[in-house]
Amino acid sequence: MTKFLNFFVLLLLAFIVANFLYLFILPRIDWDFSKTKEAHSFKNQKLKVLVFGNSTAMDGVNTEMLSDKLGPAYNFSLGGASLKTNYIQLKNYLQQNEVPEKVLLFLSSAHTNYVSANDVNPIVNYYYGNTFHIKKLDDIPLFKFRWLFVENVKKLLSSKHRSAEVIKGQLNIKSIVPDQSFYKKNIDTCLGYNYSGSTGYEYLWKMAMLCKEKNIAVEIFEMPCWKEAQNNCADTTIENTVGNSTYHLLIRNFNNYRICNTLLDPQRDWLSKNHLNHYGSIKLTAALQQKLLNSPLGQK
Amino acid sequence: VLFNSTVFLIFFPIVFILYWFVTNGNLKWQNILLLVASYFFYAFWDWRFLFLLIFSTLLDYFTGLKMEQCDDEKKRRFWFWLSVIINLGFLGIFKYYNFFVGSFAEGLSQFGMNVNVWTLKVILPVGISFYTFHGLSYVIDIYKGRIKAERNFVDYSLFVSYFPLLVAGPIERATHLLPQLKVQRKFEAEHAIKGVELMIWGFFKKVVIADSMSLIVNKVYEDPSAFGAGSLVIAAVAFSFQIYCDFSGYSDIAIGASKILGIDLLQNFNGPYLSRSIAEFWRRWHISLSSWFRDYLYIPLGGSKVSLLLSIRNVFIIFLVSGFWHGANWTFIIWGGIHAVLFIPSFIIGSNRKYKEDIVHRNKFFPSIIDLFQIAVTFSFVTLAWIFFRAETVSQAGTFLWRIATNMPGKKLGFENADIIGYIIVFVTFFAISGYWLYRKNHLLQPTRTKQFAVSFFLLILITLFGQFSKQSFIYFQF
Repeated sequence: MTKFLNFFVLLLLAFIVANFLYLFILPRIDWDFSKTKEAHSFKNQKLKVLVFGNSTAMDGVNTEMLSDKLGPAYNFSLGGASLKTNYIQLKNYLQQNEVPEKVLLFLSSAHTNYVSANDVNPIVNYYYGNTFHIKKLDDIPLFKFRWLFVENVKKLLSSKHRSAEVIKGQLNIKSIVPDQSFYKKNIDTCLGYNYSGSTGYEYLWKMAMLCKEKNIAVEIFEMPCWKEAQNNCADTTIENTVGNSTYHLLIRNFNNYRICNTLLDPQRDWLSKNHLNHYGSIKLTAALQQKLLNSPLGQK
Repeated sequence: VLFNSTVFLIFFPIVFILYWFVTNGNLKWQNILLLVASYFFYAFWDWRFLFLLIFSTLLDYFTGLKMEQCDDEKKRRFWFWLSVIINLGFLGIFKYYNFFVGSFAEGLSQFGMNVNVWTLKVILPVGISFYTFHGLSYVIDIYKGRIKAERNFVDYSLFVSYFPLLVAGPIERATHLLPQLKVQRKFEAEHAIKGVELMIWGFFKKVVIADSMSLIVNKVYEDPSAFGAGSLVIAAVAFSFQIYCDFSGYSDIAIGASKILGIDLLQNFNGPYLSRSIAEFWRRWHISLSSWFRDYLYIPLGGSKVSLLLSIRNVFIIFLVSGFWHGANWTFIIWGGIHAVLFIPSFIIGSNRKYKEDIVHRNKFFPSIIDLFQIAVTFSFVTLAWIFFRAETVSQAGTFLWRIATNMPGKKLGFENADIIGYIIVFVTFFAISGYWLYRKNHLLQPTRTKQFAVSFFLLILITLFGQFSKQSFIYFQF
């Protein structure tokens, strides 16, 4: 029995050590982890522009360019981040740093359930929750951060991934994967986005109201996607009534196929499905700057 | 309780501790504990069907005793048929009633007669096909005088309900399991470590390979007519891996768990996709069921000891019945029929007994080119037949095959880079560890403690990183 128990306990111990090792390595090699660690440690920063969104914004919004024109900017976007995640990040930043001028929020409603998901990104949960508890099996680090394993294996396999760098929160990758998808048959009919029907809608407004409270201009955009997920929708205004006041928010649609057509090169500007690479991010950010400079005050 | 559930992770260590530490090695208490644990294991799924299991156990226990006590052949026969008819009756009602009345009504409708038939609206009791077959083999063996009736009710009940094999086998024989339940069990570390290794390997096959493949398979089988030939071929091959890893994964967990408790179960799989012919495939796939049908159906029908025509009939019967055993659907019957058709040529020319050795490439690290070619051909045929097994209807299987045969264009299965990297990692591991087990069996590799540890550790890590933990049940639960 002792032999068996030794084997079993050693196996269990090795498994526990592997989990701690994984947790030790991740902040040193993983982009999402290292940037969340960096963003969480911000104290008394004087950033002018904060960018929020999921992986599409993390790859596609060039914060270095934004910084040149609009003042110091940082891209807080994270892979798989929900609006609730973005809200936690924003709230935490505002508690410890100076109030920025602008918050840019990037949605990607056409390709993920981003607006619908209400889960908090596990990395944000890990840093912003301040404590690390293993209450259930799902909390085991190897399980909780398991998608990052393959993401980091990509770096072993691809030199373009290895040479990628995180600059002011933006993941800058020069790898190219052409968009060979086709427009939907009904591309000219705008089916619209169902913002109010999504569970994340609550956090969209929470972010907007938090910005209003602090007098921060908020700008919301739909990120461009591959052709198969593009549409012909115009910009959308959503409204929300709190007490006797009704508030409006304009969501600018960069996923309109006419805009994408003039802005992006399907053969060169994509990194993977719906994710812009370095070249695409430069083009999108230039167009974005133009829009922002045309309405310097933004929505408050 | 599902093996791939958190409840099992709590249940099994509790049983282990009580079994080896609290019962103090007392055989009677160990068996009582295992029986109670087995009933809990079953009742956790649906306690109402526990009564059916207990009834079936009581029936076979008493008819077994009655048969042994009777000197009169007529009475013996009466008790025997009473048990067989009631056992098969339950199986027929729960599993096949709706199929028969549905097919009957459909048949009548072909002649313009529309009838409304009364169907049963009840779920199939999990494991009914397995424990019914346990009971049947016991009763048949007593009737044939091969074994004595078991007098200890706890031991007999445990033979029928032993939790590792209760819901999806292996289908045990009284001659193999009952004697083990009657002798003092001694804890053997080597045995138990092998059990842990097997359990982890089984979990890997189930939650990593089978459940990942099910994502591809379910997507395509939802609407095969929308997909192109390439995607359909991928789905067909994915199902071959899904069903093998799902079922052999279950068997490995069952055999491993039982090893830890000091009880050996029958081998159920022996590298079936390395078979070089259909006959060999059936000696390696679901061995406990194939041998059950051989011993209790094929041989009583005359086996191959009758005329060629009757022998062919017998082969068809066991393949069709084996198909029907899997489920009340024409797709399973056709699946059995396809295997019969593929088997018959080798049966006629007498090559079906070729490749009877346990190991495909004894004392060699790799099979020969000819072996590899035969393995690939056999795998292709088996995969083709699985299309019927997985399809919801015969026409769906037909559409599936037609689209492949005519190279129809259609939707493609879109894989992200991350998916492809994940599949490469898990499949390389799957083949490497399969090789490890094979070489161990082939005595080309010695299972040192370090190797056992490294393999188990590596698999545990991959289960955590790539396992699908959405509480997917095992495919063979439905049979």
